[in-house]
Amino acid sequence: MKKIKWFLPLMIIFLLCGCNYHELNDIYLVSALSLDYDNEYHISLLVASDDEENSTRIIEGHGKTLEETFFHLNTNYNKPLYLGHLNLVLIDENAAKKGIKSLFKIINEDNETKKNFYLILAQNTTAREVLTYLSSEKVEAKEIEGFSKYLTLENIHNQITYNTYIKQMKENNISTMTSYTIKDDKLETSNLGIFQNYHLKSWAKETNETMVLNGMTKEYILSLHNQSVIIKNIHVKKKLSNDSVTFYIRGKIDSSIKDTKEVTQEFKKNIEKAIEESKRLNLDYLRLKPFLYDRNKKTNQPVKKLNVHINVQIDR
Amino acid sequence: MKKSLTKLETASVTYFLLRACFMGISFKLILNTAKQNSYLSVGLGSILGFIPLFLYLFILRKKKEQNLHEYITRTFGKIIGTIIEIIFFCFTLFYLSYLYHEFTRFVQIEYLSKTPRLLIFFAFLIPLFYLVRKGINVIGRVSLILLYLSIIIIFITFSNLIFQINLSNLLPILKSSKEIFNSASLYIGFNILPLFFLTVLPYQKEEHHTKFIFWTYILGSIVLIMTAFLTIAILGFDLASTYTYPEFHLLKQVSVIGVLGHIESILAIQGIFDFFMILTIGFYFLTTFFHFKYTISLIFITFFITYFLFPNLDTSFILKGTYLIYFILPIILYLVSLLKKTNKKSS
Repeated sequence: MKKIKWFLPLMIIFLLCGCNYHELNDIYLVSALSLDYDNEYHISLLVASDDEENSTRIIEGHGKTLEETFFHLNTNYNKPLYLGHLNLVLIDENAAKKGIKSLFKIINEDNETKKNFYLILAQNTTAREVLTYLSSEKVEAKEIEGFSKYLTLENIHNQITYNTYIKQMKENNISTMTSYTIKDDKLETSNLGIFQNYHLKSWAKETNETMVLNGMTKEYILSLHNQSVIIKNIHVKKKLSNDSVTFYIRGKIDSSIKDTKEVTQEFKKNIEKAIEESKRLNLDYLRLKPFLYDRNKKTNQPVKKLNVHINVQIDR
Repeated sequence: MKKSLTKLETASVTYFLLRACFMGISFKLILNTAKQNSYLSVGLGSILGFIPLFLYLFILRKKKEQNLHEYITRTFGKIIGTIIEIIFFCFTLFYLSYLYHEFTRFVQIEYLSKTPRLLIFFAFLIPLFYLVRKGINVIGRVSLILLYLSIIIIFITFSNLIFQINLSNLLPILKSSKEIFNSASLYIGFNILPLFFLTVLPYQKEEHHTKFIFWTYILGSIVLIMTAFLTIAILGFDLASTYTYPEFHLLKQVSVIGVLGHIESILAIQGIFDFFMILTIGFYFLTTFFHFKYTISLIFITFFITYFLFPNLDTSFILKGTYLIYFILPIILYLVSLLKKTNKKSS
């Protein structure tokens, strides 16, 4: 009986040999993924490299469908892909127009992905070029978490994560994604991509303002008399009264700026431009329908008026 | 060796019985029914669950040092008592087979995706069989150790997740009260009614054990309400409904001191503890029922049912069965006991 006591746990250990453990050197640690479409799909993965000179390298796959592309990536390279450290997904304009639901389905099926990676569109450039730019020496941090640090350093706060995108899509069937372009060898924010049913439908010019209205950023950079004024600690509240919705936005500016009136006026002008654009595009990316649903109001009745009330204070 | 459990061991057994069917079974159904108000239906179910709990505590006190088989035979007589025991036995066997199926499915999906299910089945069968053979004293001690580990994991999880709450995910509140009631009944059927297995606990003269069960029930319910609340408040209903185990995906958001991440597999081990303990107590319940000597034959019958019959079985069969067997039959037991007591007094 004593021998059986020792035999039983040993048996259990050997029965668990089917677990999918791999050594670090035997897997590709994927930190970023770019998706391009040009008659066929091209996926480029930024993976950690064991080379002494370069800490990262790019591996590529292509195929007629996304499943074929991932199959190509899995079979043509001798190491399995590990998406647990995926931090960034870059999508080309053409691929976004074709639809990205199947990409998310493939990533979602991977149990190890954390699903809070950033999503970025590439406008007027390929996603591969943006990926190469981010992995080059022009970027200060090349580690796995480096992209979010880089984007924060450059005051680019308007990133959407996968979780946010899926939540918005399921709530309202409309979601947004910030886009970037490479101009004069520098990465710059471009327009805001509006997605409907996982397909890129339109572009909105007022990217930062839309992010403020959606409560997705706490900071806004305002250009005033050739100077940049940073409005921090932005809080947005929506209030429903009769058939109109009012956005109450409050923020703080640096104490070096004495006159808040001009800042408030300019900020309000930009926000109103974003609201006008959303009306013109006739797409609910300001998420008014979910707001009405949350307040037990009928969502098929359009909101008659959208007002903005801004309060900017000096940070003491 | 005399069968007895300490107060804490009794509490730990109650805790695991309450939690066992939450992950991946009842919570998924509650989420699809009550949507953003899932945490409210768990709360309502916990309040209504006091009724079956008091019923089971009554049976536990009334049967004293008899086992459940003797108590049923004494209350209903030999023939009706045997019929009732057969019904209890068969349903509990099916119920445990279903739980085993869900358990191996959870382990395969989230942990060992490349391991054949048969191996996972046998890997857990061995400690299960060993523990059931050792008796209730050892089961109590094991459950207490697992309880301490569970408490540490819950503390780490809640302390991390509490700062990620987004209250707007909870809106709209109380949009449809009918759905909240329906999902509360789901919660009772899957989480509260298995507390019937508490009737297998040995008789304790002190009243404190009943009080410990009562307080553990309240604390365990609070933990489950918090789990449902955090899942909705952090992930939101739309995102949570896309996952098979939304509670597991919630754990992906946990990061200890901003340094330790990707620890969801470690934190989700409490789900394995929950399943393992209900299966242990359930099998022990079956072996004591008919003085079943051959535990191994029970195990193999369960294997046969789980592996060959279960992949296509509908969950509603299980839910209706728990209400019939673990609620209506104990009510009949309670009423007949009361009637006999009144008859004795009048005679």
